[in-house]
Amino acid sequence: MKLTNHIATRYIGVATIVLLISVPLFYVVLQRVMWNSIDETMRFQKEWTEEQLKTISPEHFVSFNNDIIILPRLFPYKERYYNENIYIPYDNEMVTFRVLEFNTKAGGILYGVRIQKSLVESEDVLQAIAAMQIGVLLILLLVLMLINRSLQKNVWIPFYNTLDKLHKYRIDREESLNLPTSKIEEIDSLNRSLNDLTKHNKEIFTTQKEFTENASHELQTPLATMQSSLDLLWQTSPLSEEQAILVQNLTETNIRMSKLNKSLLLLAKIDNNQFTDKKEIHMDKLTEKILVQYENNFAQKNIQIQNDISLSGTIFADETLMETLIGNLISNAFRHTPLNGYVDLQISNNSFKIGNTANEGQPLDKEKLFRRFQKQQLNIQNSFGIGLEICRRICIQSDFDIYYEFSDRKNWFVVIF
Amino acid sequence: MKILIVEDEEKLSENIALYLNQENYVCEIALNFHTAMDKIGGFDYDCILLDITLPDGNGLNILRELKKDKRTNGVIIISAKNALEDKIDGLNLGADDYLDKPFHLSELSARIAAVIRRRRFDGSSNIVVNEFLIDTVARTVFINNKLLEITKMQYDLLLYFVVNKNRVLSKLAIAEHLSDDNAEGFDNYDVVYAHIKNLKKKIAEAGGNDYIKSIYGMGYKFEV
Repeated sequence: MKLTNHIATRYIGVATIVLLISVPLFYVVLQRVMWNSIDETMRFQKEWTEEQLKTISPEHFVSFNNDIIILPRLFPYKERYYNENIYIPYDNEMVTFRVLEFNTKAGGILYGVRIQKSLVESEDVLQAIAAMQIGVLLILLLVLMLINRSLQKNVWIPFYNTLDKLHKYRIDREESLNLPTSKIEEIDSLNRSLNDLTKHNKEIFTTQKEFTENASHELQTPLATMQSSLDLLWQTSPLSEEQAILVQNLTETNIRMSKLNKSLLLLAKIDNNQFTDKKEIHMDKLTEKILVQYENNFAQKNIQIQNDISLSGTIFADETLMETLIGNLISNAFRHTPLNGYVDLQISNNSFKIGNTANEGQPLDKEKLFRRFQKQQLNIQNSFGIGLEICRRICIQSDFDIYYEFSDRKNWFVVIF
Repeated sequence: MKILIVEDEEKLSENIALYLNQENYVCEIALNFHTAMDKIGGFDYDCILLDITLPDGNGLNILRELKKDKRTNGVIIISAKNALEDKIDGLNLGADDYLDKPFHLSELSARIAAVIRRRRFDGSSNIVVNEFLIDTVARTVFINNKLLEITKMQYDLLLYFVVNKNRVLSKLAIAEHLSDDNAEGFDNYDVVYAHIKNLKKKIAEAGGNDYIKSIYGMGYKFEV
C-alpha cells in the first residue's frame, strides 16, 4: 500500500484503539472515584445520624428527602456500601442509588439504618465528561486525517517525483538523473545520492562501451597482419596438399573472426547511439537495392523471389541501420532457404515481412532464435547467430518490433515499424 | 612505381611491402605520422597507402597536407575503424579509395593497380597481356582485337586475374573480391568455380589462350 496510507492507518489505528480503551476505562475509574466520594459523604452522615440518635428518637428522626431510613431490626446486618435501583414515583422511573447500611442502638433497641444517595447527578456529570472526551479524541482523529491529506500533497510530491524519474530511468538512454534539491532534508539527501549513483553508473557504462569499441578496433589490425602473412604464405608455392588445406583453414577462420569482430563493432556502435542520422527512407527502393546485390546468389540456388511491395511507404530512420537490418534479413533468408525454395517479401507502410521456405518444412526454435551465437541447424555453414542479434538491436534502437512466426511452411521474420 | 606505405603495425607494413615488391613496385614504409609527413615532403609517390589511426597523429591530416598541394591522387585509405564519417571525410578530402582491414593482399594489389591507372594522364588506361587487350575505362575486353562478350562479373574476375598475374589466388580471395560490399559476402565457392568455368569457355570460344590455371587444392593462377 502507499506509504502515506501505511503511516496514516497506523496513526489513526493507534488513536482509535487508544480511544476505544481509554474512554470506557476513564469512565469506570471516574465512576469509582465518584462513588468513593459519595461513600465518604455517607460516612459523615452516619456519624451525624448516630450523634442525632443520642437525643432524638428514631420515630421522630427526619432526613432530607427521606434519604436516611431507620427501622428496628431483630438481627444486625453487615455494614456495607452498595448500589440499588429504586423506583421513584415522582419521576416514574427506576433510579440508581448508592446505599450505606449499618446498625445502631438507641434506647437499648437495635436499629438498622439505611442512608441512600441518588446517583443521577453524578451520572450526568460522568456522561458529560465522557462525551467531551470522545469529542476531543474524534476531533483529533479528524485533524490527523486532514494533516495526512495535506502532507500527501505537499511533502510527498517531491518523493513521488523522484520515484517516477527512477521508474523511467534507463542507463543507456539518459545522461544521469537530474533530481532537484529539496527543503526536506531526507528527500534532498535521497536525490543527491541518486544523482551521484546514476552519474557514476553512466560513466562506467560508457567506459565499458568505449572499451568494447576500442578493443574491436584494435583487433582489426592484428587480423589484417595475419591475413597478409597468410596471403604471403599462399604465394610460397609449391605447397603440399596438406599445407594448402591448412592455410585455407587458417584463412577461412581469419575471415570469420574478422567478420565477427566487425559485427561486434557494429553492435557496440548501435548501442552507443552512433546511428542517429534519421531521414525519410523509401522501403521499396531500399529493398530493391539490396535484392539486386543478392541477385546472383539467389539465382545460383534457384530460389524464386515473390515480392509484394505495392503498399510500402516511407519510414523515418537511420539509413545505415535500415540497410543493415534489411540486408541481414535478406542474407539470412538466402542462406537458410534450401535449393529451389521460395522467398516471400511483403512490405506495407508499417511492416516488413520476409518469409523463406523452411528447411524440411520444420519451424525454427523460437527460444534460441534471437540469442546470440546460437547455431540453429548444424549443416548450415554460418549460424543465424550475430546477424539476428544485430537486427534485434537495431529494432530496439529504432523502436521497432521484430518477431518470428512459422506459417504456410515458411519461416517468417516480421518487423513492425 | 613508388609506393608509400603509411601503417604503424610493423609486421603488416612489411608484409604489404614484400607482396608489392614481387609486383615490381618499390615500397617505402612510414610507421608514424611524422615519418610520413617527412616522406611526402620529399617525394611525389605514385600511390600512398594511408592508415588513419597512427600513434602520433591522425592520418587524415596527412591527406589534408597533400590536398594543399593538390597531390591527393593515388591515396588509398586503409583503416580498421570502419567508420562511415572517416570514409566520407577521406573521400571528400580527395582520397581515391578506401579499404577496410583486414584485406587480402591480392585485393590491395588490384586497388593499387586501378588507382595508378587512373593517375595516368597519358591515356594509357589499357592493359595488354599477349592477345588480351583490356580497356579499363570502357570496361571492355578484346581478344585479338575482337570484342569479348562477357558479363560485368566476368570482367571483374578477368581484371583481377590479370592484375595479380602469376599469383596463386585462393577461392576465398576471389569470392571476397567478387562479393565486394555485399553484406555477408559470398561463402559459396561453387559460384566462383562456375564463373571461372564460364569465363574460360568464352575466352576459348573467342580464340584466346587459356592462361587461367587451376592449382589443385589452392585456387587459380593467371599464368603468363
